[in-house]
Amino acid sequence: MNLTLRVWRQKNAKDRGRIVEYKVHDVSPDMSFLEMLDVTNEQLIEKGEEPIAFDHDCREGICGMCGLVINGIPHGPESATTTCQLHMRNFSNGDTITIEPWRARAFPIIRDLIVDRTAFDRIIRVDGKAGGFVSISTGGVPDANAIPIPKDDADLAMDAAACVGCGACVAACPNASAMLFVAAKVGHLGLLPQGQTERHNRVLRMVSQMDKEGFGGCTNMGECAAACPKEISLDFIARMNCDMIKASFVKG
Amino acid sequence: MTGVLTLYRSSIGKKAAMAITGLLMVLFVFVHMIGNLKVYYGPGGTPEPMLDVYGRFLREMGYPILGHEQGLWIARLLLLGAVGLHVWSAIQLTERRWTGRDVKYVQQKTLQASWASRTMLRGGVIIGLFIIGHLLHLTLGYFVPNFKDGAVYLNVVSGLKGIAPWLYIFAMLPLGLHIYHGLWSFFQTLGWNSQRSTELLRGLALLVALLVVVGNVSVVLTAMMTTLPS
Ligand code: HEM
Ligand code: SF4
Ligand code: FES
Repeated sequence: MNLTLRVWRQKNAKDRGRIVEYKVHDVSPDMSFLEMLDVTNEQLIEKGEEPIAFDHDCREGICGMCGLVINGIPHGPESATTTCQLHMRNFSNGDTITIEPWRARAFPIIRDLIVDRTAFDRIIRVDGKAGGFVSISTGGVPDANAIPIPKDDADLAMDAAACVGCGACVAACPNASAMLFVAAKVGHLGLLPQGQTERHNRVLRMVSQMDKEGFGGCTNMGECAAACPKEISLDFIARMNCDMIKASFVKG
Repeated sequence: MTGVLTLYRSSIGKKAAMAITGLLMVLFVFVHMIGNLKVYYGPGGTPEPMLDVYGRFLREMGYPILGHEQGLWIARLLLLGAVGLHVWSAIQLTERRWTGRDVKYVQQKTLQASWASRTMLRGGVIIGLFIIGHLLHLTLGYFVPNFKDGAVYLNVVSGLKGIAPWLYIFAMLPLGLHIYHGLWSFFQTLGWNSQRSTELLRGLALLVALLVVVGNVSVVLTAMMTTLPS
């Protein structure tokens, strides 16, 4: 396939950035989107041009590093799929594809298509204290049946824990809100017995940090869940709202 | 008490304030629409039009535990407080939303968000302007020929002539959309929505929105087409 790419190029955080058009040839429909970008970069290097910088790591949909807004949709046209798992057979010969980075004030651009997502890390670990994890020393491995957990809760917790922290929810939200990510992290621990001890402090800390990072407010539009490669449901946002209201009254 | 402040300081708390004040207004708007239907009783009635009887009931609400108009003023203050907090939270949340994304996308697609959910702010502003106009018009009597305090039916029928009824009907579109997204949103914001109940709650929101819009539009059209014997 031959394609025309319209790619966001930006030298560094201060640069204004702009869309640059490139022609790529010899793209196989079996390639992943990132492999297509690798091919593009090789062709750019041959021509003596600067390759396009983009984030990636596992390339198997589990690390959450990759993330591009492809033709206006975070992670591209296929639902429940990360950019690295998106295949070029979703496109046709001759297509023009627009590729942009996540855009949010809390995710400043480092270079080209790479954004700084450490805001998420600061929500997971709020001022050195536990946010999205439990602060117990794990010790020896307990017996798997030592703490009984209802199957439904375990399943739900697993659904929430599937969040890979990619940030597509923020990228898709018209308000650049991080509610789905934070809700997934608050939710998976809130459903398990091990997460109860810090339940109230966790939601208070994480929401307060989320607000501090400058993410927008949620208006319940649901674009986040539609864009999420792990299909995290809006239900977790409702759950977090409930937890937040309770925690505010319990902890004052 | 400090819990309320802790909550309100967060974006989720401001949203909860919008939800609770919004629900209060939805309830008011719904009851108000039912009240408006008294227009159908016409000018007759004994000894005065049904709409006037209803108007007098509002003024005497709680009597004799409360004095004349005291119940009405309590309700008015409550509603004014609700509108005030709703608008104040809307301003604060909107400021967050507008600064959340400093550089816009070159291309951005909407995946599934409803028109109603995307027009909450614009719709809210139109509704706010409409509320001000509506109070000036039928409560205070501006632009109503021969406005007379307490003669609700006559005021409504003579006030809803010319362009006024069309403005009322126009305002029902954003109101309906606002209620449709807002009432469902209320449950989501307070954490009572889930995949199992979401269809039901969307249905409820649609039903309430439709009833309010259809009821009010029919009342306005009726008043518009009624001519009074002079
Ligand atoms: C006075 C002018 C008004 C303005 C400026 C306004 C504005 C807004 C805005 C900006 C939102 C937030 C949208 C979001 O975050 O999703 C909202 C939500 C809402 N509004 Fe209004 N609104 C107004 C009047 C009303 C009225 C008259 C009603 C009732 C009929 C109402 C009911 C609601 C409800 C139920 C919500 C949902 C709260 C939530 O998201 O949980 N609003 N309004
Ligand atoms: S909720 Fe979904 S879209 Fe958001 S960070 Fe987690 S996996 Fe990515
Ligand atoms: S590169 Fe790891 S999820 Fe895509």
